[in-house]
Amino acid sequence: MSGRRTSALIALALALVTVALLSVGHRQVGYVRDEGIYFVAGRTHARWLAEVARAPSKLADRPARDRAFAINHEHPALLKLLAGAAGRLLSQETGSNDGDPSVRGLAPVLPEGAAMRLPAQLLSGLAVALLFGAGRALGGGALAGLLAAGFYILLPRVWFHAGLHCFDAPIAAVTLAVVLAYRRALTSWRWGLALGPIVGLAISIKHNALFLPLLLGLHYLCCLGARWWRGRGRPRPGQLAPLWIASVAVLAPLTFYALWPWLWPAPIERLTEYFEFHLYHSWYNTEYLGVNYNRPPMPVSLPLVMTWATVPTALLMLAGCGLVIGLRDDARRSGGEGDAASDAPRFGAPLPRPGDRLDGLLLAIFAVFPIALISLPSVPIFGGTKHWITAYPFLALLAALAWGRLWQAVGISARGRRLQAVALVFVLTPSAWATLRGHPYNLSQYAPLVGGARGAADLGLTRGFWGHALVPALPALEELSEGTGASAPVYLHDLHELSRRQYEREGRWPTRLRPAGARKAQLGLLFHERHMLTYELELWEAIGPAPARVIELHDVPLTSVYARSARR
Amino acid sequence: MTRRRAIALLAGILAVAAIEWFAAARAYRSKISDDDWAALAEVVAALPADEPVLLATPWLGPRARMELPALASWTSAAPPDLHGVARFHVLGLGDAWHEALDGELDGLPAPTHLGETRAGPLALHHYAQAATGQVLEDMVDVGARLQVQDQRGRCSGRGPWRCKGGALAVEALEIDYRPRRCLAARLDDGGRVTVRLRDARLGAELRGHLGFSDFNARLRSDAPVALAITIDGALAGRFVFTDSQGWAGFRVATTPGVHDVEVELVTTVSGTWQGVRYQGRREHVPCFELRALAEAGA
Repeated sequence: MSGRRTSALIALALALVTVALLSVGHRQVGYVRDEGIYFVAGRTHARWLAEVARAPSKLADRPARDRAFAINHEHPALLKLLAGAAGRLLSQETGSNDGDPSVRGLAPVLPEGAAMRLPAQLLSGLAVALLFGAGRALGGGALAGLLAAGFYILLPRVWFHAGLHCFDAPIAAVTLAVVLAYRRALTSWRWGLALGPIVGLAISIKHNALFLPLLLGLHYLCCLGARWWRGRGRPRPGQLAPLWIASVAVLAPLTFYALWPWLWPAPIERLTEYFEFHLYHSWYNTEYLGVNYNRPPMPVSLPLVMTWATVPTALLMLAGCGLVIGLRDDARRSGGEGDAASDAPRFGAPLPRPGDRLDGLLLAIFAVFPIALISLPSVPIFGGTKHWITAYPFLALLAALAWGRLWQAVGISARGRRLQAVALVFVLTPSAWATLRGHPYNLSQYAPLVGGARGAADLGLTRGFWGHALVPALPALEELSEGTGASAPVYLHDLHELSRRQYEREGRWPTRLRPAGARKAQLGLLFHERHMLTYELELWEAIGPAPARVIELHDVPLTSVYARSARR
Repeated sequence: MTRRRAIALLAGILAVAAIEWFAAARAYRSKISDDDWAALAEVVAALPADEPVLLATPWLGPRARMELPALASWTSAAPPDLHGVARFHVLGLGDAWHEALDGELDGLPAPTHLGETRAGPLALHHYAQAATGQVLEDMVDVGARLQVQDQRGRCSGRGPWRCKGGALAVEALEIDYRPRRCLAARLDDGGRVTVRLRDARLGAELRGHLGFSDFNARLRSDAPVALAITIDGALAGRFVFTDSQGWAGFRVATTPGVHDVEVELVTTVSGTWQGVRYQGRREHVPCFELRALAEAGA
């Protein structure tokens, strides 16, 4: 079997294992706040899709289309469409609630929520496969590929987000795909042509991708400038306006437009509304070193410190080495390799010589930009590491680059290769350990040098958000609701009503419990965050200050369940 | 890259990874067992009811209140400060004290550490404070004796009180991200409420605090309030507070004996600025407490 084929098989195996583990493991991860609306939107979009499949003329029915896509139109529809379709394909029979009809898939093998999370999980599987392939190429061996894949998916926060029906892990995966496609587009007209639709797909997942053309353009200009500076001639016309730029300029917007039916009737007006929503996004509360931040300016250090606090330091050191090595390689590159006629720049292949492509800079731009962007004090406060998760695949690739180069410099014998494998396991274990022990609460997990969840709580770092730590509390809610009569009011706190309805559709929500305000509640949920004390004290007033159950991660309370006349 | 440099870098990275292994072994497991909590519950249950138990490790709060009923009392869960508390206890996971408790001392000297009782990794530290006097009256605890009125007349009820221009109630509220139990005044803009305690036993001083509830309201309004204290009809102190002061302390010296005490609270605006306009929904809520303290040793 060829090395390339073996690599492809390993990549496929890694992707499949990732998806399988996410699909099974994330049934213990609560439906987070944002997922509730995405589930509803996904079902609504998919119903429209099914109607169009039955009667294609419905495609032109604007009122029906607008009804289907008006919900949650602050995000593009693609991932929700895929989730809805996955639900219609794979969901076990659900209940119905409030006009949201029951669903039973054609092959009903998964709970509806798990089915709808599957497309996002598949994209994370894709990211793992791509990282293995790209890491292997950069680091010169399968171990480097494994390091890149493991660096990314074994991070607790990445693992958490990778399993959700949300946009963060998917946009990280697709950003990686775009950058790898761009790299190929510099030497191949086929990839140049394909890049536009791929960028369009990325923008159809989340608005982070709107930065991609700018960042790719910046890198490309740097490559042309470096080439000129090295005496390899001025950029030719075909290089100044190459195929990949034309493709991105024309096909990316068309793909985006085609994949978001909400835009079809009034693209300018609705795009303006979309941009304004994100430009003037509300500020979130986040706890950082014991202080609750909810207005600008945000501490510039927050993204860097939170990255260190959630990514093992040895891995960050490797990524840092990779950054230096990559940039140094770019600086030292003469650009003289290969002088064949086939290396002449063309419209379809504007930088065919390997020496003209600044790979280190490319990885550096995409590893640094998301973190730097969120560090700007004027950027709305986004507390979660998910907002710069798109940096992590590139940090992983930089680590793979460093891994290969460092071992190469050491000189690898047969014995050395075994040592390298042991060392690989050694550097990835802290991350894997954190994720394994943090599951299903990895949104609240922290790196070992911080001291895990306890250390983070001591430091005053954010405990979690989105009301995620719930699934293990559901049996307690059921038990505590016994004896409350046919209907017990429960305060949901940060659990979104639509997320609660998803549990209800799947028969996981205690049947007696109905949502109520804190002051009228017989039971109450409280997801601990520094700024949430207001709501906890409402429960103290209504029920008393002693919770009946506490969900913890390594002694640190994540969720409290309050109940009148609590039974222990 | 030279071989030597590569070896040094790899060795450094692997050394850090080794440290992370040890750190992971410590971090990724529970330190506190159910048995530890049970053992501690016996110790805490034997403590006198008037001795509060505070936290040196604040994040232990929810589990501690669940396991140890004493910590779910208002004196432990939402104390005004440490004045009037001659003995108290501090529960910690490796900590005997917390910087937040320095604020609770509010001018008192550091307490005397009497010892500790351990339950696994948890430790209950026992403290005495000789420099504080006894609490003779506490406005938060004497609801039925309070007479409340606003500028439009007498308020009804014996706590909570309903007034024509708002309401007053004893509540536990988040003030400066800590729970405080105090008299919350939800008044119309420009409202005024007076709270009178007749025949109050006074000692050396009246000591109180005022703060504003809810982080969200504090973000959306900075309106100040004025508070005046009169004793037997004579003005004893006048103060102005804003939410940036947190749980702001105030005190007036008093002559020991029985006196009538009146607190007048005047608000400016009680609503908040939401997005594009002002909403007068009584969300920026001032909340105060007032205690009469005897001299230390009295």
